[in-house]
Amino acid sequence: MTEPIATRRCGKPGCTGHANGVPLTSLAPGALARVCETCLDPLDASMLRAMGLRPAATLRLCRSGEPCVVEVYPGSAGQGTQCERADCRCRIGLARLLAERVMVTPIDEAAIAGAGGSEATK
Amino acid sequence: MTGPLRVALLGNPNTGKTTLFNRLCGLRHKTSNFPGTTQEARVGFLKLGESGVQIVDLPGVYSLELQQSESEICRRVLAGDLAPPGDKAAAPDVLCVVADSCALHRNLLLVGEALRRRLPVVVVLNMADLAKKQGLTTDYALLRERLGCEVIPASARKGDGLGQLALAMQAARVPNVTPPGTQDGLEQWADEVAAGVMRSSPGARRGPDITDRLDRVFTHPVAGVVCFAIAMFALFWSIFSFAKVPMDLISGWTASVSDLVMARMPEGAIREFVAHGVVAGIGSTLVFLPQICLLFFLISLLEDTGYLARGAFVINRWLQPFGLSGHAFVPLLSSHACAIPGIMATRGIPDRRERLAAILVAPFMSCSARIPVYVLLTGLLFPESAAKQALAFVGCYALGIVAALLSAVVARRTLLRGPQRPMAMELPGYKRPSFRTAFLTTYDRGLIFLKNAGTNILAICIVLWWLQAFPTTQPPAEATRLREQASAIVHAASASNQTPDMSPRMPGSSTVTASPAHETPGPLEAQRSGVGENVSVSDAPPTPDDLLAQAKKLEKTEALRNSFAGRIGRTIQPVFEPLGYDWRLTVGVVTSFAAREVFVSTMAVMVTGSEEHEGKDVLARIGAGTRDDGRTLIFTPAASWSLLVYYVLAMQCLPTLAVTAREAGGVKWAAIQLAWMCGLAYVGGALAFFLAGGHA
Repeated sequence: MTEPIATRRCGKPGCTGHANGVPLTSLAPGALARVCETCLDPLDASMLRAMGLRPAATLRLCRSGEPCVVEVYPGSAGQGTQCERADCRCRIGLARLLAERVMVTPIDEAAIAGAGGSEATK
Repeated sequence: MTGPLRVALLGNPNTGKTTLFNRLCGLRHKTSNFPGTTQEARVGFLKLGESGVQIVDLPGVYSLELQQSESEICRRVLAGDLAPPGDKAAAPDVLCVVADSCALHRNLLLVGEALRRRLPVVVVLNMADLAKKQGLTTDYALLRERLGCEVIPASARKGDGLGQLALAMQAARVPNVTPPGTQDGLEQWADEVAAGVMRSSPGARRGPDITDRLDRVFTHPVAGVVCFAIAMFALFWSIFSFAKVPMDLISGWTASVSDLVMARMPEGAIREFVAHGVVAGIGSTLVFLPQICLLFFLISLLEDTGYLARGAFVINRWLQPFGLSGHAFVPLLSSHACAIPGIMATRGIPDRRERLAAILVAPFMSCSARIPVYVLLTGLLFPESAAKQALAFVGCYALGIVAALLSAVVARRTLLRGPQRPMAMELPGYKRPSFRTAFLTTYDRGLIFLKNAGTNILAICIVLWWLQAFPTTQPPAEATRLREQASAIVHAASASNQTPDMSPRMPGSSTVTASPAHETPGPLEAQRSGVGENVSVSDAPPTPDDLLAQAKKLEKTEALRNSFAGRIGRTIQPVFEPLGYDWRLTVGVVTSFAAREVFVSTMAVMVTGSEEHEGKDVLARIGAGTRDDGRTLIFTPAASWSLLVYYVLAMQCLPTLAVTAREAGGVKWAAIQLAWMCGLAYVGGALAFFLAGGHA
């Protein structure tokens, strides 16, 4: 069952909700997700995008809270081979203020073979 | 080609760009700032062919298109609008892009942007050994084809592939591939190229690993803070412990050279200038070099392990309310040793406004130069209670920290107003640190400091020496009389074939009884000359050395009183009246403008006539000194409290101001720092004087 849009608010003041995704901070540690959109200032958005945290990127939440640590996997979702190269990844630390404005869609861990979510979710 | 081949080194942060630069250039490099910016420009030279290769290490950037100072500098250098100091601004002959072999997909975004510049390009895939170890293989031939330029696998840490790279630089050509111009198109292009050329072996390690486990500990709200505290304690304990020996050696050498000059050169102003102006000036600055070198060596090692990025996050939440981020912690903490390395360490703060704020407030942190002043004043305030002294000592440190944080808030809301960027930082993988890189970083920072010390700081020290040494004055009559008296005793002893007792009395037991009753100076004269509190009547006759020491004391006090610095002190004494300072304390404050620790030796000279300022007895004698009325203590409790607060808050370190001007990119910032800190110190000192009952 889909979560009501009204509850999908990011941390940005005045946010009326997002049609897609949930804030990154709402994921459990170890969960895999796909970036839907970011609700950030242009400077932060462009910086994170250059660091690899861009729409459709696949990530794993390594640590929730302050700081939020994510591991960004190569390529965009749908690229096919991105998560085969599990070691070819970037680890980014984000202040909670940023992390709660990154909207993501949780993805089935099993769909990303060998991406390594199992141990982290223990 | 007439000049060397000019190569610009471009790359993402944490790709080993600086390690590669160090490998290629070694010690053959110089560091300065890009003109008009606070961004560091490192230019190195590689011996290759007839004319060699000049390499410019550009700031690490994730993209050339970002609206941040690092990206702007890269854009301007590549466009030929900006060059390091001394170079003619022109586009580089070759653009060398350093990419991380283990994160090629993301690094290709910057490679794509570089290819669009239409400059001859060479791509270096650094950490190729690490990628291989992780089971990642790259089809280099295919990658060369896709990028349209030379691709060199290398390991800067091991030195692999550097020969190939040097040859590739000489043969570089403009790539025959132009990646898409839009961000979406570029990302898709990078994904396609990476997907096509990279393969992971079936046995490649996947999933959470040791990095996850370490990160959970190092970024944990409690365990992370504990680890950070341990790391910082170890860092600063090492600095204080290991720097002491070389610092003492430098102090000793300086004193020896000064003594040698005094012994070998003919008496006169030039001798005084060389011994007390040049040698003492250089020595007082050089003494900080061991701390600076150790700090940067250890920080470089810590940074290389990958831990420092985690530590910055741990401390970030504490500093955010004050307009600073976790990046500012190490610079502020290291300012407790000395503000100069602390300010230089702000180079690691990526946000310009935050960096300037950290530079401005770093000198509030109680540095080691303040310790002698704290020891003197807390000792005078609580002579009988070591516990209260310790508490007051801690209070001084706390006041400095609070003043720094509140000043940072003020700076960020006024001069440095701007959005506080939430922290986002790549967390590099944990690895064994490179001692070579740490050594070269230390060499670099030490050289910057020495260059500064040899120019600005030395000039400032000489000016201050001159203010204290001139104009020369005739020795006071009392001093002349004491010298004559000493000489008479020696002659009398020679005439009677007796060896006079030359040894001076122990402090506290020294006696000056030679003055006949009618020649004994009156209370006011005695106090002004600083004699009164030491004169005691005893049956033991004075030795010639006692008399000479007393004469020297009178001469020094009189010389300082009549020097330009003394005159300035007496002229501006009314300004310090609300803080409870007499002319002696004002001279002490004025002369310690160059360096705080000078205050104690100045007061020792003014009150006791000797520069010796260690030992309980000397401190007691300083504390017992009275003002011109012969009754009021120089260091009244209210004045001591006021001085304590003043010295915690005041900017009284000219070398620090010189470094601030250099690092912040203008004298304006040093002036702001001086005005703010001294203004705050003045208000704080007056308030302390008032609250301590000084005006009652």
